[in-house]
Amino acid sequence: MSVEFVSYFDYVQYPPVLPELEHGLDINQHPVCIVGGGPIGFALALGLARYGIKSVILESDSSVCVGSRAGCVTSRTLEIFEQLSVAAPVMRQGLPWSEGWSYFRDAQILKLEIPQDPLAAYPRLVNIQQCYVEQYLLDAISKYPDLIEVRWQSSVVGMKSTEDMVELDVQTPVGSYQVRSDWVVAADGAHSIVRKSIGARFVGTRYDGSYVIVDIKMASRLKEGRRAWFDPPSNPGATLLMHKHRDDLWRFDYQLREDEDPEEAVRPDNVLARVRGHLEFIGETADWKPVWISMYKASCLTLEQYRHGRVLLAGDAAHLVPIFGVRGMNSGIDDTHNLAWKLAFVIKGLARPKLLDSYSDERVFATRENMRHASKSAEFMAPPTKAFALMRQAALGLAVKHSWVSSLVDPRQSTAVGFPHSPLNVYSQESEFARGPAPGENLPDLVLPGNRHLSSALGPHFTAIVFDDPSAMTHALPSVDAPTRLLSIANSDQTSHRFDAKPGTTYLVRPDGHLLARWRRYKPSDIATAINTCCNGGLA
Amino acid sequence: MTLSSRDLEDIYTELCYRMSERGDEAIPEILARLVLTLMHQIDEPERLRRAIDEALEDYPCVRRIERPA
Repeated sequence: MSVEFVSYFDYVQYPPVLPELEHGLDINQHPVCIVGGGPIGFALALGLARYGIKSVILESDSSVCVGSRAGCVTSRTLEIFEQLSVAAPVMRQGLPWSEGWSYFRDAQILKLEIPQDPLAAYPRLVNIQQCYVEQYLLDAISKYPDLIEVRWQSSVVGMKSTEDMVELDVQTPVGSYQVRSDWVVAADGAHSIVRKSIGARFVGTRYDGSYVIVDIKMASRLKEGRRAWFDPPSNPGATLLMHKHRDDLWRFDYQLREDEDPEEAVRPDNVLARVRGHLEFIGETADWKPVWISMYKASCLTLEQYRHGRVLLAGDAAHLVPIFGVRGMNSGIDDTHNLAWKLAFVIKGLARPKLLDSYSDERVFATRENMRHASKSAEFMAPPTKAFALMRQAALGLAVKHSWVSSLVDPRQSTAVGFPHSPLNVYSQESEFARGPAPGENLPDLVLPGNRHLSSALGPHFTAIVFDDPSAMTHALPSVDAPTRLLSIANSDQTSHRFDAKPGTTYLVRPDGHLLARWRRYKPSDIATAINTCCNGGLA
Repeated sequence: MTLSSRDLEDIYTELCYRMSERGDEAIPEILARLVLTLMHQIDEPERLRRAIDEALEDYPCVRRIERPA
């Protein structure tokens, strides 16, 4: 049976380009080569460009990705995107949502209300197809022609790393060449060739269950939000998720039962029959057309180190988390925000290479935190053993009448991860604070005069936030090489509640928005010591 | 606080009768629901963990299941 697929996105095909070569070698040795031109590679290149660092992106495909894929961005990702000048188009195209409904067969067992922070710049969750995210990042990249070069249809097929540099073998349809780089960042996804080249192995769990992902175009009146069904008549014995995007795009993720042959099940006529069956089950009568079909297996896998000498790994190249709870691309974007300033400072001689070890320490910790939550969701959505399946069946049965079971059904949506054990954290006057973010944590947002948000007032520098001390602005900034700014904020109920701020309270924030240290009184020498310690990679 | 012998015997017997009346097929799920309900009501993680240990005591591990990293 032939199936007619439709499209909603104009894909530009980019040609391969060879750099200027001498004996098959790129004549330039680059500060940074990024392997992989997806959201992680693009975001990292933009992050580096904010510090004036040049990079070359090597991408094997000829266009941005096809399909909704990582279809939801978090408020943390949007804050990072704002720093990269990408948040505005993402918000225009994205569809915020804050509600969810879970059903066991045809009975509703959970109404999810995702709390929104009234002082935050962005909604907690915004659905947007990954192709748009990549396109907007690419549009932003085009504003840095002197700093970022994207080489399409350029596959890295080999890599050799020494103490001083990394050499990559690149294949394109118009010829092969080698390129040398001071640093290489692997952003080349789950099947990372860089990861294989350095012999790094994932540890963790691969779940057996398979999910089919289907995008369809359908002008439905159903409200945006997360809809999850356990054991619906349309997919008996398994689960099904449904999400709305703009462009009348609906995304289905449904689990295949153990007795189904994945190859047979993913055939378009079989997939579409199941979508049709589900739409009939929920009483949806709008016309629809398929857009894209893919297959997915849940994994909780990570490398134990994200730094291997001059090679750093980010996103799916470094870790794989189940899609439930939107921790995949979002944690990869967080990786890039953590890495960009550290790598830039090291390249510019503002920090010791040891600072890059903290990228690995902090982001491996974040991955394990993400896995702790995502694995619970994955194990509930797709029980990996008979014991999980029996207990889930019991929980779902009870959930129809007992709300106390709902915490087991809750999809545990992604939240920002702090680093309480980071080697960079400086603790000096913690006992004097009753609340507010501790060193390593992400800064909560505030609304500042002029309707600006604190998250957008941070930038590619350390920020010393001094509360309610008009004289602070007349103090000299600390004498440090790393870029540092002073931000004076008047005290209010907000600042008192969120930061335990009193006159003179000072928070020192890293360029990635994590807190480095805090004090009750502003002292330039304390700030200088903390920044220098941080740039040295933490206390020995 | 523990159940008296008499209450234990009575409730044990009652559970057996009532589960049997629901049919053999339903028994594993009924027991699983009972465990979850008791977990909710007991509200003491350490006591629950000890109870799980005691229940597993006579069953040697027959395969290792990898936990997420």
